[in-house]
Amino acid sequence: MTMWQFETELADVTQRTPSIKSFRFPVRAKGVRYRSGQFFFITILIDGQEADHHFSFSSSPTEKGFIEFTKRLTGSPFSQALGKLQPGAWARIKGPFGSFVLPRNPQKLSFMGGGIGITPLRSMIRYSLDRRLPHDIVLIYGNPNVEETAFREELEAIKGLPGPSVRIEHVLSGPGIPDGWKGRTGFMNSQLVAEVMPDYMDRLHYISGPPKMVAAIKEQMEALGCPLGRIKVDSFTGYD
Amino acid sequence: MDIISKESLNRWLTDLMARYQVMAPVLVEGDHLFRPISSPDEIAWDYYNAVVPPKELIFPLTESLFTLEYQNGVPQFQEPVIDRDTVIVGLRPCDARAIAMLDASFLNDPVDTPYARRRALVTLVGWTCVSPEAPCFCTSIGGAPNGTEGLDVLMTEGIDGFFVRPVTEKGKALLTGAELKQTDATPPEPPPLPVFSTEGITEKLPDVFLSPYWQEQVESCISCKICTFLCPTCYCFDVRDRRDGESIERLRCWDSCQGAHFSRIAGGYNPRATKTARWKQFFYHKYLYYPERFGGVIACVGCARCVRKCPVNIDIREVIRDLKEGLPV
Repeated sequence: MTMWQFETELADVTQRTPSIKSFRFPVRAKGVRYRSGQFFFITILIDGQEADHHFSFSSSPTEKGFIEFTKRLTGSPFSQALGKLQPGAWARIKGPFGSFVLPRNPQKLSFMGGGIGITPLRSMIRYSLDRRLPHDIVLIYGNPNVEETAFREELEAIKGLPGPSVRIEHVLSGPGIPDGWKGRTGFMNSQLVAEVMPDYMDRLHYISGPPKMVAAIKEQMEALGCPLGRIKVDSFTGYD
Repeated sequence: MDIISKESLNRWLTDLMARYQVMAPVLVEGDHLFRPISSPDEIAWDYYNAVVPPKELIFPLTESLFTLEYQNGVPQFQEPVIDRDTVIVGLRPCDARAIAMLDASFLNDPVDTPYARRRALVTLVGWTCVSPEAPCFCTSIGGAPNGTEGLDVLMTEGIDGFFVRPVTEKGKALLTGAELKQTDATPPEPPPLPVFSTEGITEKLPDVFLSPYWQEQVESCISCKICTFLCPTCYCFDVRDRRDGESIERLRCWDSCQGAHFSRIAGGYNPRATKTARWKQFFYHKYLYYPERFGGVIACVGCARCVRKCPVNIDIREVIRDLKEGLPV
């Protein structure tokens, strides 16, 4: 896909969870194309100096006129600066990068997202829904608790929509698991994957989240017999 | 409707390979291209579209037309042998439709013999574009992601296999022996593409030939010619002779109307000496000259290769929209 770069300004900030925010930037330039699941580089000004960082698109190419990324704000200088960014702030965006993208043909897919690793998966789910692609998607989504589950309402709302089959399995690790929680608890692992999707050998796997989680699940999926060529990973460096 | 499982499809393809040269999309250094395959495992099932359209398999980038060789002072004339039955598997409906347009040019009187020979030996098995996306615009220009024009067989991939639709008798014959099963299921409908109207474009073009719009539109063009080389309906060619000792080979190779010297004639005069004139030729040929000659059919299938690959973002869809709105005369 052809590379592009353009200057823009922050339009909106959406608080997704107490620690996660989405940042939206208008796109006016021609030829800004990307595939859901890809990432881009953004440059912002911190104390007058340019600083850049890469982020997955949390928006889908079907959502026209803007691109969006979503970040859990940590104590890093970039996070701190993002937290203070006001609408109208200058930014330069360059992309697209990455091959963590949907297949072009209909397939059984497995999405395993840990925390903020949901962003490329959200982009791909949104895209599949908007384009009514006939994929069969199972999403296992791990978070500490309900409050820190980004895009929870949106994911709940897609049940029964036409297009792909999307099944979502939330897994909470705590602290803060609510009383009466009927979903799964603990951490994502291959045993859980095998329970949730017994047809895991037929699926193309997408693992996205903190590096340690991604590495562990990938190793376990290999141990289950999934060929490496059927496992795609997206490690969110900078998160534990 | 019939359906074939992936395993049965692989067996059928393997069987075809014993009798035909089978060409399919494969991954070559990061790009998808049509190449001969010796196993279904080589096929890039998960492909969008080939960078170079499959027209190259019927109208090669470079081909030998004949060779003249002097033997004991007597010229011997030799034509290349074209006798390989070929099945092209996995081409997209837009590219099949483009081949039907090439047929109109090459197979009408005077028939282009090398093209006609190759074309007669080729069977086209297309795959529905199940996830087309912008900037593709086939639906705006008379095509469809599951269109059958130009194809012998159309296959549509679903989760449980490929739905199979024979289009021609040639296609039916090719499917003999394939393990097809009847199903009540229906193939997945391709997602809708944004549609814009191209109606009336052809009629508008004669009046805006001298519009200053064309110059503005191509100011950024760097004449790289990628739009024409990757266009599945472009068919300009050049003919050159290559001498090797006592042998002379006449070659035909793709050429481009975007080249500065493409239209230069004997004596040095160049009727299309400017970028504007050349790009206008590209557009007018597709949207006026070809339709005038071939029953109103526009020689563009909306594959958007020119949009995707243009290094300076010239977008033929914008030209169509601007034309619809009206150009300054």
